[in-house]
Order: sequence, then structure tokens, then C-alpha cells
Amino acid sequence: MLEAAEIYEALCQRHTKEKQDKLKNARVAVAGLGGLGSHVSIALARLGIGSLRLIDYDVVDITNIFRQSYYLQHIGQYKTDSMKAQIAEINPYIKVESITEKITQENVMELMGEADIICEALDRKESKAMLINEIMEHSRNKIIVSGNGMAGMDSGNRILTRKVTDRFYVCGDGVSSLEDGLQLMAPRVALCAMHEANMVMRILLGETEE
Amino acid sequence: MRLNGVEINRDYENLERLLLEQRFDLKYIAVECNGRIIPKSEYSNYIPQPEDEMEVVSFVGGG
Repeated sequence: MLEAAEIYEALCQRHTKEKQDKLKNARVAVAGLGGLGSHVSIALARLGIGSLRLIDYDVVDITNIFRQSYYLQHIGQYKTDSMKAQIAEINPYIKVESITEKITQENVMELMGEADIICEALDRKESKAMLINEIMEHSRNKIIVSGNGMAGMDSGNRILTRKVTDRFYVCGDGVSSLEDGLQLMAPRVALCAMHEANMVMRILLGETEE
Repeated sequence: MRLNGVEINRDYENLERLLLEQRFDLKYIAVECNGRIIPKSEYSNYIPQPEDEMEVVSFVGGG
């Protein structure tokens, strides 16, 4: 296995030491490991984010394979376990805390722990709203990057990143929903996921305007 | 006040009334006002001010 120093050197070579040190010192939580969160987690792992906190209660099923970052061999495993294993294949020196629990209004603050930035990657609209309102009310510094509207077959160009406040960014087209009978399909969902991961990276590197 | 870019020239007794009259479902939204997210617990006692710039983010399913 590669030594930690070799991986760090390789990341510094790509990103520069100055940027890599900021990414390495970051603590990011991903709430939900479905079509958004699984891809977000992989992208953050490739960036060499130092500490990732992954939260999901679900197991991988066959329909997940065609949109989410899981493989047939993962069917039946907890998404947290599978994602942790995948991240270890990319960078075994990332500190990954996986939490196999459902996020509720009562436990949300505790589950987010020390994370400075939270990627909201839940699927139900009431869960998204709950997480954002709770964290905005009960924390002073945590920043949320949220996914909102990525279903259907509309243009990828309508998926955008928007800054709502200094602590709250929203990615997506804002409208395309499951409730309208639209389907979730791999490319458009992954596009939104990469908007989220990119905004996390930008925040960590000091680029906070969008 | 402005809400989602639209001028509203009316007084409301509180934010909750404004949101309900504008047909928002309170379960699925986050409300930004002058750069901060207003906690749900303040909806019933925050009185919208004429100079307020508000944005209601309505969440949709999928993730």
C-alpha cells in the first residue's frame, strides 16, 4: 500500500501544497449517500479532504446501481459501509466516520458533529427543509451546500449553484421534482452532485461568491 | 418588501401569514431575509418590514 506521504505528495503535485493543506484540514459531512451524496463523497475523497463524515441509514438495492456510486457487489450492504470501502480504494488516509442512522430533527445537530461544511444530499423535500432550518438555527458557523431540483430530462445547463446566504448555497434547477412524476437519471443527478462538491471545494479554498 | 424578486406593498401581522397567503407549504421551505435564514420558530412573531428583501427557497424531492 502507498504511504500517506506518497499520496499527499501526489495531491500537492496536482493541487499545490497551499491548496492541498486547506483541503486536508477540512471537515465535511455528507447527509445522505444516494444519487447526490455518493458522488459527492467520491469527489471529496479524490480532492483529499482530510475528514469526511458520511450519514445514511439505507442499504444498497439494485435500482441504486444505475444512478449512485455503487456496484452490483454492494447490493445489500449499508451505503455507509460501501462508501467507506470505496473511499479507502481512493485514499486510505482520509479519516472517514460513517454513521448508519436516519437523520431526524432530534439528532441532526449531533450527527453533523464537528463538520464545518455539510452537503445536504437527502431525497425527501421535508427532510431537506428540516436539515437546513435546524442547522441554520442551531449552529453559528456551519455552512450548508444543498441539492434542489435535478430530476427529469431538462438541460444540464439549468443546473446552477446559487448563494442564498454566506452559510447556505443551493445547487440544482430548483424545480424538477419527483413529485411531478419525473425520474431521477444518472447524468443529471451526478451533474448536481458535482455542483455541490465543487462549491464545497470553492468554499474551502476561499472562493465564496457564486 | 420584496419576496423572490416581487414587490409586495402590504402589511402582514407576521411572517407566517405572509407565507401562507403566498401559498407556501411551511414544511418544505427555508426563508432568507436580509442575508440570514429565519428560524421556523420566528415565523409567527417576525413582522415583515417594508425594507425587507426576502427569498423563499422551496425544496423539491430527489437526491
